[in-house]
Amino acid sequence: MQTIKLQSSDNEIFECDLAVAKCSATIRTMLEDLGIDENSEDEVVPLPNVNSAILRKVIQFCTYHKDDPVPSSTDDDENKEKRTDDITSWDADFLKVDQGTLFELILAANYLDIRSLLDVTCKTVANMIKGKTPDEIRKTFNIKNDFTPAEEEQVRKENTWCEEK
Amino acid sequence: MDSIPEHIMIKVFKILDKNSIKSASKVCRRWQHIISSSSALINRLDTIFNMKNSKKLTESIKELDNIPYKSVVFRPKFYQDNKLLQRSLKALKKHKQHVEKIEFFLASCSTILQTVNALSGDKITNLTISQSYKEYIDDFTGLNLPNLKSLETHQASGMLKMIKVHKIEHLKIIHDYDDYDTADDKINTFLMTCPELKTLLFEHHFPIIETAKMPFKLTHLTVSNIEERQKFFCRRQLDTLKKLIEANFETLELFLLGNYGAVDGLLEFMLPKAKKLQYLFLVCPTFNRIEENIPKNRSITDMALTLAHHCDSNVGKTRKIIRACPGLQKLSLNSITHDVSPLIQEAAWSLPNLKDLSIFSTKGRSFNHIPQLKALEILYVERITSQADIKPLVNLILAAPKLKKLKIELWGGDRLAFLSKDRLRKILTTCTELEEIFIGGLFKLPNSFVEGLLETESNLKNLIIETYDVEMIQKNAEKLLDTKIRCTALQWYPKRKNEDEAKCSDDEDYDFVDEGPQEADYIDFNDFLNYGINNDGFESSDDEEADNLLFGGDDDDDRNLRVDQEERNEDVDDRFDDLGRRRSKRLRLMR
Repeated sequence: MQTIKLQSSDNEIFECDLAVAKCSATIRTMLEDLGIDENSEDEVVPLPNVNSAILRKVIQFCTYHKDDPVPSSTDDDENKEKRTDDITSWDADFLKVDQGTLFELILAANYLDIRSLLDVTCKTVANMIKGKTPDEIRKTFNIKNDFTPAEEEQVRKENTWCEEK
Repeated sequence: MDSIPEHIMIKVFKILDKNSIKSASKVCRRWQHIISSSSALINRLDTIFNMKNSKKLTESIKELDNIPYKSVVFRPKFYQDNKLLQRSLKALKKHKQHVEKIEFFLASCSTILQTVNALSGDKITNLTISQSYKEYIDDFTGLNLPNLKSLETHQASGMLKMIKVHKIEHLKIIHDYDDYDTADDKINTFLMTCPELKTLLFEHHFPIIETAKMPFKLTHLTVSNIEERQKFFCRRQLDTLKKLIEANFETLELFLLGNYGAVDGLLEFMLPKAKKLQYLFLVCPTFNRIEENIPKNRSITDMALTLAHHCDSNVGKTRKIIRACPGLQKLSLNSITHDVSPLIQEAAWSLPNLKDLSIFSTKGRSFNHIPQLKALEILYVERITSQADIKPLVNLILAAPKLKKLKIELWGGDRLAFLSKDRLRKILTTCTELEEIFIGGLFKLPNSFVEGLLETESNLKNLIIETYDVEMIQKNAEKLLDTKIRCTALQWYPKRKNEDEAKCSDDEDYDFVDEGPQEADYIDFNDFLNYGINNDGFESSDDEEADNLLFGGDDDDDRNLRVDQEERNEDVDDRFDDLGRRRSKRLRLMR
């Protein structure tokens, strides 16, 4: 089994299967573009945007999912509502983390371009928003309400108008 | 939460149901902004109307009946009042035979369909769709526009799959932020139906195009403002670009700021292959590497290079590029290095045909003589607080003794006051062919300058001063009135209402500055680019006169603008010309 070494932002080296690492489109492109020899023992792929705690989680996720079929990029109609209740129990357990870690996983998934991880983390965030009032959402994510009272009134009016229709 | 980039937030919001999106839009400004700027999310909501605009629309309809209009700007905003739409369509039908251009702004797909059907599909040559929403309807068979020449979509690439064209030559795709995943397929499918396509512009997103399948031969390509969020200009995109520019290209504009390494290897690839390339415009952060010997390209006559930062290491690379293009007649070098003397040297040695040079900075101890130069433009002059500071500027001018036109952007201040009469005299007696001087960004026109001009025998015919203080220019320029020098003051800022008396005329021979957008509102990168493409086929609404109809939305401003322009055309005085807002392309870029 071929392996590859990945280096986190805090300089920890992780060795993992090449197939696992290639779940990341960014790593795939890097190997291709930089011409890093896949067989060479000493080659280390630096990932300056991912710390070791998050990289460990990412490798764990990719190891579990490495044999999943690759979703085609055109299958989803952008205007259709997507399901959010199809998160598998393994993924749900995997994502039982604090919000900070969840967001870092999103950023890592984005940077590393791991579509399945980005999808499932986004769904998790969407579930945290779903069915909540604006105030509840603010509480959930600790967001400050930065609308002026006048703007809020405006938004409220516009929406009443919409709902009357 | 703030660390999550916008495009991921859009991804999250897209998963939500309608009511949750509504709630999310009320959470905070950032979220509201993200949601309202995504056409796909707005489609989902489809209920934010603005009644006020509908009223204006009714008023505009009345005005429709009288004149035959060729161009219609349709701006229904989120308007869905079907009655009103039917009325305006009825009014539009009277102009069926004339309407050639339509522009939709925030119109739904069905509005677009009904409008085009109300008109005569084979008359329409230009179509612009901005932010259409409701991207599909069930029984939509497509807009058949057999004679469409020019199409623009702004955040509406979804519409591409509905438009059937045969003869389209100009295509401009300004992309929305949220559907990179499917956009490439849509664009590829559409491009395959455009055998006549000649000019192509992409903004925000540069798709991976399956070039092998494409039926067209492009002559003009613009790729601009590629977002940083796309991580990097990936190799497949670079390959697409290379394939597109492989043959037949005449003009190429690449605006790739924020993408380090974006053009690595591109010039080496392109220059020897592009046998018809005449104009190359390139903006990028820096050149990572440039090969030692780029094969020469003799077809390029006009080139503009802009880098993001002044840096000495750019000099050598830029020299190699200059050396590879010996046919250059026009060259613009922006933000490449502080000390421009090595670049002047290279141009003097390698470019025997160079007539027109624009350069950003005047630093450099001594400048090579560059006798081939007929026009020199200095886009930026460093701080001048003493007579010594102005020396490099003077030296640079003296290095080009055959100049006919000189253009200097002083960027404010009293800088010209430091140009002594002696130095001015030296310039005028060295550059004996000098016919025109343009000085931009000037607060004061000092007496010493005017006197120096008067005291020296010269061929100067035209003096153009750009300032906001017309009166002051008038006062100083009176001294010049008895001479053969024609003095023109350009206004710096847009005209205020009570200044309408300012006289104007159009100076036909004046080709140093391009006619740009005429109002200050338009000055930004995007309009710089819009303007760029206007020259190459897309018609600008600014050029229109009476046969342009605008209705819907907030059209008041535009009406004023048009009235304003007409008044200006009527007022002619041969002494003081207010040419309005004229900026050279390159200048606007620097801002």
